[in-house]
Amino acid sequence: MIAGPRRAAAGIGFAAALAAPQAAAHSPFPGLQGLYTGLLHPLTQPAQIMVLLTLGLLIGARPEAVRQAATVAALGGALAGLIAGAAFGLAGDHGGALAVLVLAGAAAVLYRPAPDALAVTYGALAGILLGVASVPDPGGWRDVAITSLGSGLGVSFFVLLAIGAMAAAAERWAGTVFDTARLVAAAWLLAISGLYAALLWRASAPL
Amino acid sequence: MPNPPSAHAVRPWLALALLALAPVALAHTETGAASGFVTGFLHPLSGPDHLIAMVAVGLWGAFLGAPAIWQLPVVFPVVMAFGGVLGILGVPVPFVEPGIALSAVVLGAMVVMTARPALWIAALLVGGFAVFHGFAHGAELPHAVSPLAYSAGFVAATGLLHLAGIGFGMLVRWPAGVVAVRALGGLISLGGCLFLLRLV
Repeated sequence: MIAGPRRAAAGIGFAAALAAPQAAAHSPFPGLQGLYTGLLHPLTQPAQIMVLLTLGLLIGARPEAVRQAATVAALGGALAGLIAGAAFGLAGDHGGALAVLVLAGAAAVLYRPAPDALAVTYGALAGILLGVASVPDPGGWRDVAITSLGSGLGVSFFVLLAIGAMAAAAERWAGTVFDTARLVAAAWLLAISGLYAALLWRASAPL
Repeated sequence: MPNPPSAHAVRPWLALALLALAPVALAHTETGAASGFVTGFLHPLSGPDHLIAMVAVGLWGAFLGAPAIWQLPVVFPVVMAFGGVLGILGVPVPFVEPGIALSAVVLGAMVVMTARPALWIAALLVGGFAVFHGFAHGAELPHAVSPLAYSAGFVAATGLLHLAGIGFGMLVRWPAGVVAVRALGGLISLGGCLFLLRLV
């Protein structure tokens, strides 16, 4: 009988096709991977995510004029931070500075009503630090430029997303539930950043 | 001309081929951020005295109603983190373990008695006890692989314990629920007494 082996051979072929290792996704254009890495950089750094959340909590629920001014300040700050950070070679983790920024921002959310000028200033500071924290590691100028472009776009996108999402939530769920959620989130961010800052400090200067 | 192999003869080779083609099992333990988060998350759950006191905060908040129901869970993590920082930095705080046990006794008793003091008194009481809880955790913190993930797990677990207390406390809408919540408060207070006696 010949049908059995044929079916078995077909089975082997089918199994081999199913078990083939996945194709490693790669960029068809040189340098595009750097752009992608830069775009997603804020999401890969938990401290940056916390800054973005704090930015949203502090600015998102403000009146539109204040929100716009703070958003522009944050985007301008990010651009300035990225350029200055690249120029002065400030690539690095900057976890401690980001933790202090979150600590201050969360405290400002809990302290009601924090002045509008403070929100705009915080936006600028957060933007600068996010920009500096997104500076790519040293390398070829072309790679650094492409990754920096991705980082700039990524930080800008996520700043807009954080503030926009919070503004939309504030409009959709205005009232006690939103205020409660906002304050609880701020309390958690304050607690996490405080412990994180203390742990970093302890690690850098053992008592 | 040799006979073609039968299906039976091919089966072992088929099995062997499938085994050879099987992807490598990536057995691993979580490391880095994942490990830090899990360790931090489990830390508040590892001590029953901590656990029952944090549930009591939620229960009491539910009894007190708005705005205490959300203000107490805001106050607790903030002050607890302050205590945690003291513990991490090695600043001495006396009577930590008795303070933790006492927190379960007092907060459980508040639930049993359905005490409704002024909000600032409730916040002061909860905040005062939170320092002991935070300090104990802070002093015991390991050199976490990922300090941020560890801290996030730690705070999230604390918040979820409050939420569990609030969730159970919501039963006070019904008469039988009031009895159940007060009974749980009594159990928590009793548990706190046992922890306190063990320390004496």
